[in-house]
Amino acid sequence: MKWVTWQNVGIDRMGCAWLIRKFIDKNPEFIFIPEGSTAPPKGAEAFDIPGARLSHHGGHCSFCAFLREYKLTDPLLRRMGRIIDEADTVQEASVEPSAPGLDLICTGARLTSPDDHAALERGGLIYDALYAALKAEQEGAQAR
Amino acid sequence: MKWVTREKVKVDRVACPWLIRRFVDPKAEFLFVPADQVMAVAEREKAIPYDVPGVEYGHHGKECSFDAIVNKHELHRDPALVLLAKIVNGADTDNSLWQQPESAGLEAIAEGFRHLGFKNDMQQNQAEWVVYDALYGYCQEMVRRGQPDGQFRKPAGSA
Repeated sequence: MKWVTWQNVGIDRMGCAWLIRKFIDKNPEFIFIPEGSTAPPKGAEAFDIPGARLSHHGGHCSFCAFLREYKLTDPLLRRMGRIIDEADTVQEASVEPSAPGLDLICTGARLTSPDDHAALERGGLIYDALYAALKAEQEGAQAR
Repeated sequence: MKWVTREKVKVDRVACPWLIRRFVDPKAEFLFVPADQVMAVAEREKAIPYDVPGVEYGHHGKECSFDAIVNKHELHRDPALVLLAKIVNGADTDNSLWQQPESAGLEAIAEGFRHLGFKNDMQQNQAEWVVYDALYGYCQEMVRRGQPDGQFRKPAGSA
């Protein structure tokens, strides 16, 4: 199906696109509209656009909205949501030290990509690595 | 030139090959071997050993091998590489030298790449270099914006 968001993706939308591809839609088509535009094309699901179902709600990031709306309960995904929340929204406490670094790597991935499609590809690899790191950390904690 | 280091790479042994290929030796070939064979392979292959104890391109005090290459090749003239070196140092060490806030995230991503099923260290390196391209792009942007210490560091003297 078609998914639409604003141009110039960052940490939250790279995470959302990774989540869509991995858990929601095996063959997604991503469409990018100018920043500030509130008229998404017909038949496309909007994400990370203010007012959309899949956007910031209650001070939490769009990634968290996906987890809620699609009932994704993997604790590692929730942990990723927390990391993105700390990087992308104002949170009272910082408990995830990897948030600033992930944010800069995603920012840099967009800056060094020719377009938003390429940026989502690179972001996808970064999120694969983040998920693998959290999984390894969890398994290491269980093994101790 | 050939360059040789220990196998099963994480931070420094991905960051250094990226730095070497981009800024020092565009035709560099990289060898990754068991830790106890690095010096023997270096001699046999006439390769430059790095990120092993007792070599020029290794850890010295709190500086990591990436710092050693930056210093030796005068790459610190590029302020974006100076910032990148601080982030890499923090991810590769206990981060007590610069307390760089972005380092923990890089360390997490670097650890994750070890679990993505690459066939060998060279394949992992090549896949992971986009992360260092991204980091360098971020560092260049910070320098352009007049924030050569990065976006997340508070100015000196602030709480």
